[in-house]
Amino acid sequence: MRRRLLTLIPALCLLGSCQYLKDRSADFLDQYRLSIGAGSVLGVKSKALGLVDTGLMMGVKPHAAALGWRYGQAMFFHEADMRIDADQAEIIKTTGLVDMDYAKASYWSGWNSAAILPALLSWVDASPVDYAWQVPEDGDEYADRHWIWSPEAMATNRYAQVHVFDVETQVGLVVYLDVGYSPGELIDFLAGLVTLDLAGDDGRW
Amino acid sequence: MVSFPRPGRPKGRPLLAAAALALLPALHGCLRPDPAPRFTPAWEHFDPAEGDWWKTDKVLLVADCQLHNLWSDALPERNLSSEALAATAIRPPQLDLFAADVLEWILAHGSDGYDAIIHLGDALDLACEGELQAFLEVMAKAGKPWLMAPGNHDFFYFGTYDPEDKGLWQAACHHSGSVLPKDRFVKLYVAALLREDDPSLAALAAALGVEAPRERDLHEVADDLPDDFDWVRDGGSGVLRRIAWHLVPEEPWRSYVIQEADMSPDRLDPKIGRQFVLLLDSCQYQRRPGLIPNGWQTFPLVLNCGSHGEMLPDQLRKVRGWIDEDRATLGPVGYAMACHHPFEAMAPRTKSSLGWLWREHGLGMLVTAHTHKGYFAHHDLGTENDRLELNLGSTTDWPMEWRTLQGFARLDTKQIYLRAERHTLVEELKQRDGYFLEAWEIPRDARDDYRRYKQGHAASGILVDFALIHHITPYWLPQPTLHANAAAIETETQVKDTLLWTFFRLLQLFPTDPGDGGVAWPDRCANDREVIERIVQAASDAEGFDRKVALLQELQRFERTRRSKDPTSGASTDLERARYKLSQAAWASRFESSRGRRLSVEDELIRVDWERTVDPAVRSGKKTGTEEGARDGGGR
Repeated sequence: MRRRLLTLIPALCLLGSCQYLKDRSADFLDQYRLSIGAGSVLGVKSKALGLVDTGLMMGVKPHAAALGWRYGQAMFFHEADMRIDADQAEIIKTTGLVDMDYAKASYWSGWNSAAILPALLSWVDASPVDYAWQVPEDGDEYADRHWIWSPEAMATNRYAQVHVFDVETQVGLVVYLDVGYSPGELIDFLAGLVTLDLAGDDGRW
Repeated sequence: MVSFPRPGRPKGRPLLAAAALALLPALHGCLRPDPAPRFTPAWEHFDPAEGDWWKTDKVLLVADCQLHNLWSDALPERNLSSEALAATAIRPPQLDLFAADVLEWILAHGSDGYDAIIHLGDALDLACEGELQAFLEVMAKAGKPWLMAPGNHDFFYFGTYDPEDKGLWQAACHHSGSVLPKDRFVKLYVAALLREDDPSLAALAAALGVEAPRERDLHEVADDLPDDFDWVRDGGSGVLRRIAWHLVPEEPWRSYVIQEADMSPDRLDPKIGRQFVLLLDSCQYQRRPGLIPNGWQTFPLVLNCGSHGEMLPDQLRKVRGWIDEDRATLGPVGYAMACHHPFEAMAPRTKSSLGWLWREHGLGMLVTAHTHKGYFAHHDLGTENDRLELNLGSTTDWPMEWRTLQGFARLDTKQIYLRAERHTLVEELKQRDGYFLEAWEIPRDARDDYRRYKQGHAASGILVDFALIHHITPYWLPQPTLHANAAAIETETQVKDTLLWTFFRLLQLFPTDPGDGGVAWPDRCANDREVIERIVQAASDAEGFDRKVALLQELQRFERTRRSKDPTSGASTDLERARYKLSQAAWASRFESSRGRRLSVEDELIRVDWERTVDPAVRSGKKTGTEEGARDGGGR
């Protein structure tokens, strides 16, 4: 028994290097979404596994007025956080596009809805993050907008791939409650135990 | 009997050793080296006079003067609830009143010597022609060539959006000319450039076919300018090497103006090449900017100009073309970039493309403004080398700062320095005599107290109205116009009253020289006493908002034309009056930033209120300080 311990402990300790433990903790917490906040919100909506997206919700939700956790992002009434999630009523009716990161002008979380039916025809900005030349040869408009179900965009967006199966519900009337669970992040956590980083998010902390 | 420890295997030691060994990789995981930036603070001795240093021109950088139309109507945006959300919604009246004096002083005394001025935008506040006129008058006095990268407050209502219904914007610009959409601003700006005494700007005037621009009306010159223009200097010298603008009158937010400033020294080095600053326009938007997103609107979403900057493809293509062409024709060229919005505040595709340009073309420092705070930022664009951004604070809002910027290089020792000397108004004035006299500071609760306008009522209902009109009302329905409510009118009235009492105090402290014949006295006044009577009468008139504004306009003209002198000694007090105004602006700015008379980290000398500190008995003389000390144990 003692010999087994003697061999197991160093192995565990090696695995349990500081960064490894941080990444596993982060991956574990990435599965959950629970936040409350205040905003000009009105409505109820739910989505599940990229198949069902229902309800009507409209309003803006400033991150600075929110408390909670959203798939790895802590929110604590942080005054300097200028981001605002925007639920657009018209889009909800037609497509279920959620959580546009309006104030950052980054429609990043719009990719959450990447698995909705293509026939619903909604589209989001491609939100480049890699400092590439996004300027078309002609004209004075950016032409790189993608339909949110665009396979080419989906193929390059790891976050969208991991979160495509999220289960979420939001209810709000000025004050809102937002809960969710990400099966994709569970898979990332399990794979992370054997040091596979499916979500590409290790090393954040 | 002597006993010795028994030899044998100590228990637990291998376990401890294994744990200790295992900790090593754990520690390795935790101990990450700091990144090694390319730009680091230099604390060593540096004197460009020692050694063979090559240097660029020295540029004075100023930004965010926010010259405000003092005569505006009451506006829904200017209320105490908005003020609670954004402190600069309403500034202390003394700050608005003397902001132009501050800018004028900075341009005249802000540095020991500089070659040109670059203004990083937000010269105006509400985007009115009168504000621009005041700004151009100050810049003309500088006697140095100047260029500007425009900011959101220069041509958008309140710096945030471009309303379809111009009613509110016109109310904001009441008594200050018409509203200033972007296309009009650009033409007036270019017309003002043509008046400067600089060979490159004279060449630009010739290229535009504008003759004697200084002798012609600014608006007339602006009217003759084309909507599209692209010019490069053919040899010669001067501050401007290139300029291009594209104006879209029907959608002014799509317009842009960009420039290439020449900061090359007289002595060119072929290995270093010429040094240019690209003045970009971060206020060019694809869609009409909006205050907040409309809840019924799908894509494209609108941006709020106060939150985000954007540059459209036509502008970025033009800049890239300039760089390629310059390097093809001139050989090595070094570039810095300047624009109003910080890099982090750029819309995503703009940020991506600008970042690519910055990285792939090896451009140097990016200078920005907009935050009113000022900072340095290191950006990682995906290469080993970090990129440096210098963000400049406001000349009006605290810390009332400006900088000079100059580059130095030495080829033999392979050294490069950037000197970005930071100046703040208060520190500069404290080094001079005659500023911040204790008797000048406005007492708390005086009628012209810097923050007296805060005594009104909150206008939270108006914020709900904003949400209803801008967010809840479907965008396809006619948008109702929101007007100032009673609380907002009360606050604006208080602002006007504070301005009146500020003029009152100016007259009391610095009486007008009665022998000066060139004074534009207010109507029905021929001496200070009569002016003061009119001020008291107007300030006491609770219902007379328009009469207050009318008198304020007269007082402003009066103040600009009058000379003051000490009635006892007969000596001129014009200099003291100018110092008083700068002191008032600084106090007001500080009170605005600290939300009251609070200390901040840069303060060194602290005044302690005698009345509220010392025992009343000691104060009244019934008990001496010595007796007090003896009672407490003596000698302390």
